[in-house]
Amino acid sequence: MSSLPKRIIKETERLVSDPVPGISAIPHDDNLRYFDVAIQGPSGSPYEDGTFKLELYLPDDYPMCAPKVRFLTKIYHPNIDKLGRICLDVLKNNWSPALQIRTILLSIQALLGAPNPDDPLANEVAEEWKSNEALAIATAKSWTEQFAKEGD
Amino acid sequence: MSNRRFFVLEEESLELEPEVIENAFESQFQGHLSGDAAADTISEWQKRLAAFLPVTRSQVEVLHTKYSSLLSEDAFATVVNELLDRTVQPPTKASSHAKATETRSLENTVNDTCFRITPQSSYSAPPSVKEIIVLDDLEDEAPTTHVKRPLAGGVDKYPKKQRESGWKRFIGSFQVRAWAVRPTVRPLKFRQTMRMKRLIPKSLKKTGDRFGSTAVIRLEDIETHREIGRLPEDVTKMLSPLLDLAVLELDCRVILCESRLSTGDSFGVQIDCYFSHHAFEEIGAAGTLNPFKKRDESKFALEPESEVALKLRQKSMVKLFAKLNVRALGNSQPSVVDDTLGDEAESEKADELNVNQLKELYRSSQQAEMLENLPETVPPNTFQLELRPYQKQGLTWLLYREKETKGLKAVEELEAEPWNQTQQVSQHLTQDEIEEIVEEEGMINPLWKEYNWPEDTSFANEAATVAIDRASSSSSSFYANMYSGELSLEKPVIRQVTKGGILADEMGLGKTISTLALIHSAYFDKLYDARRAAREHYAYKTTLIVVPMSLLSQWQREFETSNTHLKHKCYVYYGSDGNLGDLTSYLCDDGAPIVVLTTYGTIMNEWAKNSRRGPEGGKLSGIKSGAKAANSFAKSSNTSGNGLFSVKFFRIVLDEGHTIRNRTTKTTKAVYDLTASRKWLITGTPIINRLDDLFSLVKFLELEPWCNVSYWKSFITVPFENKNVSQALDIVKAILDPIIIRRTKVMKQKNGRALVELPEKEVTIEYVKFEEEERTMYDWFLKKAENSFQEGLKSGELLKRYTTILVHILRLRQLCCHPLLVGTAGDELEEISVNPIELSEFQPPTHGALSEQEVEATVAGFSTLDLSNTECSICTNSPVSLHETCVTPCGHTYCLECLLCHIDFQVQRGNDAQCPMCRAAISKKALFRVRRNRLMNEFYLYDSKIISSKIKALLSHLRALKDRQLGEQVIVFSQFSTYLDLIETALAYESDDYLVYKFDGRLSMQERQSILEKFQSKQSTGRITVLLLSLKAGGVGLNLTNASRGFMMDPWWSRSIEDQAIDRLHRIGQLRNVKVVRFIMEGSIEVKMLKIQERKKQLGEIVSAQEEERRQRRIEEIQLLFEEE
Repeated sequence: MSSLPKRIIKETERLVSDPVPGISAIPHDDNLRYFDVAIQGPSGSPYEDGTFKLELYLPDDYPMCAPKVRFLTKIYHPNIDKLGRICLDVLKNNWSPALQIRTILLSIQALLGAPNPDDPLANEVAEEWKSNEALAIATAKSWTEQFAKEGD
Repeated sequence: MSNRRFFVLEEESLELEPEVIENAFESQFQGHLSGDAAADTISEWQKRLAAFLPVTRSQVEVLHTKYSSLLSEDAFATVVNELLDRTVQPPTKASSHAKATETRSLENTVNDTCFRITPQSSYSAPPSVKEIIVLDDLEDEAPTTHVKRPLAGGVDKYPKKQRESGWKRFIGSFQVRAWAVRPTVRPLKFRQTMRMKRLIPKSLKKTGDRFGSTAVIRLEDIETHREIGRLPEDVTKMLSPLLDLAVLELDCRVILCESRLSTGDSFGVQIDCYFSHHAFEEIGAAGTLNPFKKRDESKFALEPESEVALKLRQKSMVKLFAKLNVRALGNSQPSVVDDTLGDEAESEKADELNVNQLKELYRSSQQAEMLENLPETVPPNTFQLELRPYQKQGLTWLLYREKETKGLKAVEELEAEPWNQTQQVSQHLTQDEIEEIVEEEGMINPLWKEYNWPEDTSFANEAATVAIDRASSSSSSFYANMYSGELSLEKPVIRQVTKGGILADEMGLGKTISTLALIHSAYFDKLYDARRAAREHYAYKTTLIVVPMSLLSQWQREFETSNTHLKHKCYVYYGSDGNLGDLTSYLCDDGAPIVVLTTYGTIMNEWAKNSRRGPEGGKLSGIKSGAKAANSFAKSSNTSGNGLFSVKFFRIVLDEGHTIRNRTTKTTKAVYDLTASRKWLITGTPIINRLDDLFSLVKFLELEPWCNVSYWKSFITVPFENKNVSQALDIVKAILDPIIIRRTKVMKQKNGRALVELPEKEVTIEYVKFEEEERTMYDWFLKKAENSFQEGLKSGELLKRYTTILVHILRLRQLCCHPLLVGTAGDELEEISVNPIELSEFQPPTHGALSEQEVEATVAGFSTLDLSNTECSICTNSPVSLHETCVTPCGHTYCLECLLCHIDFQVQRGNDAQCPMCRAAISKKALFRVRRNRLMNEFYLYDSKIISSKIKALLSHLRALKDRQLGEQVIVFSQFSTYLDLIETALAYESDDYLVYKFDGRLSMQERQSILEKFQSKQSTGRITVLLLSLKAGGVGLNLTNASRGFMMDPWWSRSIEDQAIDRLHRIGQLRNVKVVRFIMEGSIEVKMLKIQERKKQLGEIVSAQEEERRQRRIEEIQLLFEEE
């Protein structure tokens, strides 16, 4: 594996020394490009009080291309599928090297607070969200209760 | 010239005094008549004898009785001899011999195997000797025209004119079927002697160039002188040159003739062959070689003619040896050497000379052993440096080659100065050892083979106690050179008058040091003093060292560091300011510098100047009277002097001696004209391309006889081209062995350790990808090149288009380096004018570029930009240093490298590049850079063309070095000077951390020196020092061991050139591991060049001595270049 670019070291240092509230990202000891991430569900959202685990990997081309991020914790969200994959523009075409791990995780946190069923990844969830939003939110809440609160 | 009297004995009769004969007979042989059976023979003998001796029948009968036991023909010969012995008091051998030599075997002597008549003593005034006037020269045409062409063979039993006295010796017999030209009444008698008559068609007499080829050899009846038959054409062809050159004498006897002959019938004859003493005369001496020589002709005009004769002689000799089945000693194979003209083409194994063979050549048997056992010589105290053991051995050899090994004591005696203690020198050499070395030199010339004289089985033997010169008869063998047709009685040892040789140690073994040690050990000619030297314009104390310009200062420095003798000076003779005119008074003096350093260019210029002034200038004027020489300084102001050509040097040393490998270049010719008593060549690569490269070196060394072109051609070039490789190589080896010393780094010393142990060398290839725009351009040019190539291939005129295609190839290679290079002529193709149309045809896409107005407007918008605290959002560096800063038109700042990388990445994925911060569209053509101009920030448009993919790759390496270590010294090689310029610019843009020096062919000597000095001095600033080195100007000789990193920007056709460049770093003195990166553009012509390098390595370019083959190979190479992946 190629040596770690300065930027990754810098970002990691900053994530540790100056963490974003509600988000933690800790690199693996054996692979500094691989991070264990935990995101607090934003308040006022069905995911409030839940702690969602994610994995984040920085590919070799980073920062020219986006990091790879995936939910490990099961979540009921129109833009996140069963496998935890996330539909988010900045993770795909709208990536810019000016973005960082920190900003990406903030975007994901924001996505939890503002689901976008018009650009769905999990179609069933999106349908549910559109046809019966209250039920969908309830399901989301119960899933949060069920899967995202183990540690607490 | 005095006309000499030349007596030709006509064959009619030699009148002996009858009484003498009669008395002799009666007293000795009376009453021994045998029966009737012998009657016939007796009648015949009498008849034959009567032709020239008045004998009675009774006399013959007596003789017959005595000798009838012998074979009849032998008996006859014996009889005749006896007869003569009785009648004539032969002069003592010594006196006859002395006389013969005294008169240069020319006149008045008649000799014949059977008769051994020496006319001076037997006939005071031979009555029937015709007196004719001939020219001084024996081989002149005169005898041919005035008398009937002499039968060159001495076969005829008549005391017909034998042009010289001397001896002959039997070499062998062969049988051949002759054909009759007229009917005979009776069958020819067994053992009947035939007279051989050589006819030369008149029309050919003068031209000589086809001499021998259309000749006829007649067989005549000895009594009637009527032509009976002729020898078949092939035998005639073989024999006639040898007869004409008086090399061979023949004796022809009938051996088979069953019935009477009709015209066209064949009959068998046996021809006994004898070498006459002329055969053993040195070719070329006294014009023996050329029977057509005219005294007024200049030597030069003669050369082609004599060469023809030489060639014919050689051809015939080879055939004759084959015919007679004469074999060389210690050679089970028939001694037949290939007929170099290819008539019979018995070519040996047609193996090619590849690199291995070349190595073998170097590693010749002599070398390894001799080198190992060479004693060591310690140079005198005036030489300060400590030599390594192998260098001390080398010094012994060098001194030995100069025949100094014994003479060094003399130096000591003459120079009683305290610091010159030479007694250490050569004391290690015992007498035995010297002799041992000397013996080695006595090797037999490889062109010669030893042959035993065969037993004389000729008819004439016994019967005629053949007249063999006593001196020669004692030797049991002779030597023959089947390559030239020369014969010799003495062992032909390779003569070596040459003092000097080739010092061909591998790169990095300290050839310079060894040479300086030699100069210190023997720096003047002991036979001379200042007065005598000045008289003879002999710089007896001076060694002239000729070096490529780039090495001048290095040599000077090495000299200064090694020298401790106050009076030993080194004078740099360079450029116009150094021109002293006639150098006699300066150099032929006691206080002359022991070393004069100069460059090939200087010599060439002076030579050209001298030759322009016609024959008055140049070397001739160097041999002027002393009085003139004294005025030379006054004169030099207006004649510009004759410089180095005005004196003869004590020693000349050519560094990088392979510079003169092409003997037709001006430089080489100029160097040939320098004179010296000792000549040395220093080169790591004596053969670069072809075997013929060696010739030029040999010629410079004046190594006889190889410095003669025709010799070289016929013994080396021609056999080599005829696939007679091993033969050619044998000779080359034999030539080289004694004069060359070559040690390699891997050679083991006595203690089993390698001569030099260097740190490791790591050469890696880094493949670089084209940028999109470069790729477009490359593909466009590639297509053009391919088209041109295909057309050439189709029309079969590929080689006619060779130059065109070369230009195409050059373009492609340049594109690999940098698009801006296209349009400059490559160094190697200077003569080809660049076609401007070709360039303008290519219109690079221009979208995205900014107009001038736009640039101005955008830059104006930057005025509010704060560049004091910028962060590159891509690499998160903050602040970005000014020279790395790049500003987008949208006003965002990045590191240039990061942004370019981002743009590339996006473009590669088919996306439009956007500003990472604001997603505005950006392009490489619209980026701005900043430089500090007084207190203002000045923005300017970034020119993407400055940095090509390769330069980018180089920069990233340098950046990495910069990050890791401080004060690294780096060498960047390229063959394109223009490319070096571009890299220089790019480095200047890139960072202030690089200290860049550029070394290429455009620099003057002083500039080169100062640049090298600066580069080699340690930098304390922690900046990276980069030396941009032109492969041509600096690929050889330089010592750059202070650097351990090298970057080879572009590949060269032959790997060895690159290796040599790399060895500038990897040589004695290098303490660190050497790392070299070779940049190769992916999917480009460069990849194919690597293939060709590989191919060359396998085949060895040396093989291609043959023009046809070389052409074929070129085509193949070009095909390789255009071949699809």
